[in-house]
Amino acid sequence: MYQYNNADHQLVAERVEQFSSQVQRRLNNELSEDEFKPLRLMNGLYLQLHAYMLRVAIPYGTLSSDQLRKLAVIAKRYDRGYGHFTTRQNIQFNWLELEDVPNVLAELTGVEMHAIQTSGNCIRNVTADPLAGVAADEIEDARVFAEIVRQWSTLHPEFSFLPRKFKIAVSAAENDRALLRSHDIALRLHHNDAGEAGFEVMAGGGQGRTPVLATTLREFLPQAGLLSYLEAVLRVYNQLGRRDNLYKARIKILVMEMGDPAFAAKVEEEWARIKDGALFLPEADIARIKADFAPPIYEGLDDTDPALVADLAKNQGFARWVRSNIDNHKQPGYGIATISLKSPNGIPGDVTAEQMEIIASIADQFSFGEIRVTQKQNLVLPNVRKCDLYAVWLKLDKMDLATANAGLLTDIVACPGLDFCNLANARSIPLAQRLSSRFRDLEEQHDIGKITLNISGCINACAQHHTANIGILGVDKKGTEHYQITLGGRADGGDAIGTIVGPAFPAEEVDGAVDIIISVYLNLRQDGETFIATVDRLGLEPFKEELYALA
Amino acid sequence: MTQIAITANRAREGSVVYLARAGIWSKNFSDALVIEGKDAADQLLAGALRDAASDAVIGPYSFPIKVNNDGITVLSQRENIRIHGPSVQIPSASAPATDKQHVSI
Repeated sequence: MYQYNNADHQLVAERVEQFSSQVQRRLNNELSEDEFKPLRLMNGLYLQLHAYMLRVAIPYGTLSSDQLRKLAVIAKRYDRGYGHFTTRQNIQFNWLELEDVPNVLAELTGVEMHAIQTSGNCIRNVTADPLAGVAADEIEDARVFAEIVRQWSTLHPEFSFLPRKFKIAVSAAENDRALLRSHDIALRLHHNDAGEAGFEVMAGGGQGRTPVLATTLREFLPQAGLLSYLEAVLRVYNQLGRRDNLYKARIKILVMEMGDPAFAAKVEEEWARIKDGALFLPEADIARIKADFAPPIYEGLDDTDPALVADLAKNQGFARWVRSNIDNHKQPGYGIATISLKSPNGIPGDVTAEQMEIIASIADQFSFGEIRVTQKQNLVLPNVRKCDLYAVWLKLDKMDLATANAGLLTDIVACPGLDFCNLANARSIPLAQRLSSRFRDLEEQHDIGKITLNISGCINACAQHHTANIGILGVDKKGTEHYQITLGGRADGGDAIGTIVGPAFPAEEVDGAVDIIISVYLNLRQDGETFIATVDRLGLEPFKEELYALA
Repeated sequence: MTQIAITANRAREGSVVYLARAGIWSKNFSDALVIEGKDAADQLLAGALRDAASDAVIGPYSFPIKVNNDGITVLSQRENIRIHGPSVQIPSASAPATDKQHVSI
């Protein structure tokens, strides 16, 4: 994986020094909260309901075992012994004291990590396909380009005070695991008719109170134009994006108001002016970054492992885990193992320090010391020999990390909700816990099959409920928590925004409503039909009829 | 008559505090001053905003409560969660850092 160069080291060290001084001045009352707030937000430090929260960047969701161990140390030494992985491949610590934050940031620099650009109206930490570099369905390692974008966007002086936050995602795979069309800009590397690899550039997507799927600005952007084109899009947005209304400040509103062709034309006009300038990306630069992401030295293995076949036959629990939690690796004889952070009654995305340490040691022993963080708030061991899967499963199972539910009903994405978040209207976690308990039967979940269920505690939609097959949004109705349900959303390449089924349900009825939705699906599905395919075929009516039968 | 309490977050720890009396903030909701009447509320909130300006607390605001024979009832779910902490058990929860309960300004 990418290693910091001298410039990177200097940048993060100087930033820690600067912020340490700012914290000290704040603690000495030399800075007011009004003065300090923008400074702390530039360093990923939020004030939530109960305490300060630090969001640490995990660029493109790639962690080394040493980095994960350091996160465990921070969790134990400065927090309450756990961390929360987010839907944007970051980690949050919920219980930090202000005076400890400089020490936490200093600890992070030791493992080449930081919290820069995890907040504020800037280009946020770049995300990518969590399986980049190992997935069987990719054409190249998307992290190479995500890293190039990271370097370009870090402390970019022109784009440090944008109208609003700005999120970029990168993928090079056939299947979208990075929610591309929910991003301000998304880059999808693909081959053109001439066999060259370049980017489809999408822009203007986002969730929140106005969910919009990104539109394609350019079907094919040569790699050399990557940074100049991004610069052109950002420049048009920075100049024309609305700053008069917080709710209309994202690029999606600008693209909608201008119309796709007019926005794209403006970008092309700017790009034509700058594409051959300083931001032209030479092949040699790409090759240099590619070298940082050189694959590990894999063993030459047969793709079918006799030991695995035997283990699958003798252990049903293991077989079930392999069925749901193992993805196809590009290297024969290897698998990609999803570590579910969604055990029954667990908190989606939460990991204890002890679990982090065990995962780090499993990664060292079985996965070249590498771990990935997914947009679904799970972790991944990207390089496990198939003959080792049983041993890995046994170790994970001991730590309650082997729930065989990846991509299934209880693989619930949930924001922190009203239990932690200052913006939330309703709780997300207790509902996720109740649902994961109610549907804990893995046999039943495997029978239900692929499905996504996301719970957001407010319309900011951090849990991306708009594009979930079953989306649940917490709302406040006269002081009590209610939950609005949407069906038909998807973020799998055939992206769609879910449709609201009807009036919101009170908290005590929403679990039953999910039960009804699943029952309707099971009753009406055709052979081999997934939940979303059934919703697409039948529409919402059969679900509405049952959900509101007594209304 | 409207009854309210005043709350904020402490600048140093970010923890939730309640106005116990003018200039005194407590981490215990049981110490919260029950304020009756608009004039008293306005006066104390103005004082709380001065405390914020002097940087002891962040973002003070008032919220409605009801006092009856059983004690104080807080209607807002948000405020209940701020008083009692998350409604879910956090993983391997350890005791919060000890510190003094009152902050004099």
